[in-house]
Order: sequence, then structure tokens, then C-alpha cells
Amino acid sequence: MYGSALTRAAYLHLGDGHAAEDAVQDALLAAWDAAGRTDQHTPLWPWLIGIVFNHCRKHLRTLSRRRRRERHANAMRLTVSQGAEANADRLALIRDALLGLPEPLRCVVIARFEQGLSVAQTAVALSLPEGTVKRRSHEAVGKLRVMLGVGSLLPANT
Amino acid sequence: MNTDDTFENEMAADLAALAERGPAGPSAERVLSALRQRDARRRWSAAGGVAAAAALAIAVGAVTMRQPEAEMPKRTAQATSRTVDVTSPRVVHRASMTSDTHVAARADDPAWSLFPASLSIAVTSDASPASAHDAHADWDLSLNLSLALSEPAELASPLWRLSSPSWR
Repeated sequence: MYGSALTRAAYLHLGDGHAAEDAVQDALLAAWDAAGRTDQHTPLWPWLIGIVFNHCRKHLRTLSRRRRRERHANAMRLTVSQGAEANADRLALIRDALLGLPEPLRCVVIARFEQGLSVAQTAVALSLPEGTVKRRSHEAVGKLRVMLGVGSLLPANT
Repeated sequence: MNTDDTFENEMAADLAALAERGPAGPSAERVLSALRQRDARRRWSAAGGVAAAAALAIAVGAVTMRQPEAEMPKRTAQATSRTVDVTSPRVVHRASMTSDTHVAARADDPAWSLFPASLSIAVTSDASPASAHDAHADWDLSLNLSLALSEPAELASPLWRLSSPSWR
């Protein structure tokens, strides 16, 4: 359960399946080591999501800009080849937009809208004040609207 | 529902669809490999020598993994035990897994009940001791975190059989 859901978040963050697996694997090991040091009131899921995002950031830092572009391109080709073309195009738009967001905004989008965390839980996961989460969420949605077309998220899925 | 809600709901659905295109999760082999590498690093690192003792304790027929004692807070653990049958090409093994979880001390969030504080796996074999030893080697760190962090029902899944490539 945890592994697959965390990998989904990492995959959206990094745009690369192998990198996501690596990040989650490292995050799980880190979580195992750190669990005993957590506060008694630490909520498990936001805490795990936060660790995964930290490892995603680490991973991104190790990649050169060029390497990142290559990975992105490969991931996009993979997506198109795996599904029906129309749907793949649709998802490719989402992928492009998501990866085009600044990383702090991307984390908020993934936590809030894919993982379904509340503002409070997202604040725990990202170690941010709730007000900052709300502001970033609003900003991210605005940017995505611009990138994907005003009024609706996507073209109609035909 | 206003347009913002609609937009966000559609985004959630599309992000979920996009995430489905990614990997299902780190494979047992990958986690196993990472655990082995980490254990090796700890064993051979002079600085990490003490910490290594906290990670793994291997006894005859049993593997135990615990969080570092120094880091474990005072808590009341709740033990759960499950037994699964695992079939390999060589021999039938029975593995019993016991995990002490954080459930009692983490009443604020029941999700912690699935997060193990410690694990031990006992492997018995219907075959010769040598085979059992081989099996144990295969299982060396088969208490991989991928399994440890799974739903209880998944602990009896075929994932166990993927712990060792040699069993394929």
C-alpha cells in the first residue's frame, strides 16, 4: 500500500519511473530509520510523503539540466506508447504542465490533488505553515490554468 | 460547484490517471538490494560499526530487524504474527513473520499500526538443513520494507516469492 502510493507521488514529481522507484526506496529506508525519532503525534502518511519529496529533491539535485530533459523526453515517449493516443496526449499535457511548475508548487499540487491530503496534512508533509500551503496551492492552480488553457483543465477527452 | 472546484476535481482525476502510468512501486528485488547495500556499508564502515548492530541480527533460522535501540522511544508495542507458505523450486518453506508495531503508542493515527517497529522472520524447511540454510541465505533480508509496509493481506501474497531472483 505505502510503496505504491508513494511511488505515484514520486513519479508525478520526477516524471520518471525508475527515478521514482529509487526515491521511494531511499525514502522507505530513511523512514524505517527515523520512525523511532518521530513525535508521538506525527501523522504517518504526511510524514512519509514529506520524506519522499525530500528524496525527490535530492534526486533532482544530482541530475544535470541536460539529463533531466532527456529523462523527461523519454518519459513522454513512454507515456504515449503505453496508452491510447488521445488519452496519452491528454496525460502528456498534464505531465508537461506539472513538470513545468516550480518544484515547491508541484509538491503542493501532488500532495493536495493526487494524494488527497488536507491543507493541514500538506503543511505537515512539507513543513510549511498552512497559509503558505494555501497560497502555493492557489498559485499552482492558477499557473496550471494558464498552461492548460483557461476555463477548463484539458481539452475534451474524445 | 464553482469553476475552481471543477478544475481541481478534474486535475485530481487526471493526476491519478497520470500516476497510473508510472511504476507500481519499488520491486522487492530493488528494496532487497538497497537493504543489502546499506547493511554492507554499515558493517564495513568504522564509523557506522556500532549503528550496524542495530539494523540486523541474524540467528539460526531467524532474521530480525529492529530500529536502532538508541533511537527507539519508550512505547508499548503490539505484536502481530502471520504465517505464510512459500514455494520455491527447491523446497517448501514456512515463514512466520512477527512485527511489533507502533500501534499502542500512536493512538492519534491508526495508520501507524501498519508501520513496523521491528520484524522477525523465522524460516523452517521441510527439507534438509542445508536446504534450509540456502533458503535462509535467500531470505537474508527478505523482510524488505516493501513487504513491511504493505497491507496485512499482502503479506501472504506472491511478493514473498519475488524476494530472491533465484526462485524465479
